[in-house]
Amino acid sequence: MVAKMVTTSTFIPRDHVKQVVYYEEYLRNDKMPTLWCSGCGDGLVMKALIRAVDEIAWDKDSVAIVSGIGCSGRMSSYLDFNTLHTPHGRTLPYATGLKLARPDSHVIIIAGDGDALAIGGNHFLHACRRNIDLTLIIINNFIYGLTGGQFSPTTPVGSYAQTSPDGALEPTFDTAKVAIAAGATYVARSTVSNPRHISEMIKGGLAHPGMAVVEVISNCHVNFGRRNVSGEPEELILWISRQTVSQNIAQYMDDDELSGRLVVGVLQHLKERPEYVASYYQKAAEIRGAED
Amino acid sequence: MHDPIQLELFKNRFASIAEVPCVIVNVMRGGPSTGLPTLPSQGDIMQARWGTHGDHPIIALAPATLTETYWETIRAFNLSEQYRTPVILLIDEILGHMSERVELPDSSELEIVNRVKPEASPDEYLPYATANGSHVPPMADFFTGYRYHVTGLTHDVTGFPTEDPAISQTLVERLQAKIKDNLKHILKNEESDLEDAEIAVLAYGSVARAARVAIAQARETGLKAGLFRPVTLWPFPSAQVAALARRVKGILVPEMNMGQLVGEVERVAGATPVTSLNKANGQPISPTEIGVALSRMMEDL
Repeated sequence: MVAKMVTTSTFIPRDHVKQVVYYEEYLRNDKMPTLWCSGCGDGLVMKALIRAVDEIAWDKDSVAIVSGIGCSGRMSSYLDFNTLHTPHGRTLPYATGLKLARPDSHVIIIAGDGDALAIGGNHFLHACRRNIDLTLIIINNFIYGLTGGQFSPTTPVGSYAQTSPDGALEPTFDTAKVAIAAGATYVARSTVSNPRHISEMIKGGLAHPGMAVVEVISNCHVNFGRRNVSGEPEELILWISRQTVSQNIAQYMDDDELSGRLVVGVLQHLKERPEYVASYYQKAAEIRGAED
Repeated sequence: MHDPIQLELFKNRFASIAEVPCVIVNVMRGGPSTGLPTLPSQGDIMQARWGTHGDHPIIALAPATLTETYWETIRAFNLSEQYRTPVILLIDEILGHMSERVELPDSSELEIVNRVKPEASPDEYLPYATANGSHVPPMADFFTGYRYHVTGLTHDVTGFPTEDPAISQTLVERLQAKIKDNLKHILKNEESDLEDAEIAVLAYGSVARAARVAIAQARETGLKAGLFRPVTLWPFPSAQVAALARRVKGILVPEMNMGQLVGEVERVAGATPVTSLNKANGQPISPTEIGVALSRMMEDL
């Protein structure tokens, strides 16, 4: 019975009442169309991000978008904020620098699973540990899409990829569990099967004064779906929907039932832990005060 | 920085093309790999210049004393700001672990150069456009209303990625030109005892200190030697070294590596013989070793 419920009911927040969002106000419209394949989840995430920023009503000049390498890396060039497109895996060091230099700014990071968790894995752990006031959106499509479909740290075991023609051998990272263990104070997961939910999860991250990690399970039907589920975006999005279970339901499921499923929702929300940039400036003021 | 991957990624790939002013300190130790972690070398001379993707110039400074390290650090920041380029302080580990007397000036005496800021309004601002004969585009700060795009990809004057062949070529040529056209300002050499010298020692960093002692000792025995010490290693002072080669009968290049900067000297020395003195065992080159090499060169001339 539970499994049937899972396939049909992903949590939709009822307090979502925002009416009209003028997306063009947040886009560099002369850069359209995007480089993304038709049906790519990156567009849904970009749209959800715009909705979240619109609802939180931040001044565009106060927001920086930092992206890395990969399909998602191109998102920074489409968004009309202060945008920084960095080398592979290095979004978090650049973002940390921006936030430390300008504590009053809002720094949002877009990274893929390969970018954030493989080459940038160490930065990921330590940004979470420091609890810096950043919002990291990890678009997890289970694959290195841009470079042709090599397996990534989140490729499900046994899945086929360009570099795992006989099925991926390596155990899979659980991004949210890693983030929580490393010390991130807001950790949420959503999927492209419910774009409004993505906005809510991102908005929670933006509002949170600490390290916020929002993992969005997305569809790369071209390089992941085609080899494993389906090359059609809607088929793959439905498959993703079946892999996930809302936290509201998951809390009534045992470990066996949860095995192989990704729980979506807010998975960690701690408000007590000190935020790094505030601590840094407080310490600096103390030292300067002691010198005077 | 002892992480060559990070050094390569930031210095060479990103900071050069995005034109980010930054200073990177590389205190050179014995290699390859982890090599001789607390022992000196000058093994990264070519890595500083060529450990990279694609073509871009670099500025590298090699001070010889701690006082000079202080001043060259300031100069490194000033050059990086003025030309929007990474600058490498290429120090050998002898200086890195040295204690010596340093007199610091009052900070009001320091000349501090900052990047040029745009005069154009945010609507008219082209982040990578140059004007008035300068090769260096004015740089806006984030969060000041200039919502522009910074990328490590080849970009046009708007800052957005392009693969246009003509624009790509123009960008790479401008990156070259902003250093090449300002050699007079960037280069810095010290010359001593060269007026009547028959043999020049070209040495940099801490090796130049040993060379100075060796030259004084050689002059006591009647051997006319002098010192040419490049403080700016990159760009290499080709014209100055070529002029030097025309004045002397031979050039000795002692280096704590297996012969790196000597290649640049040979390239411009013409018919003047160039002798290399190399040591890559984690030990400094002594004045005696330089003195012996000078005597042998004199015998051969």
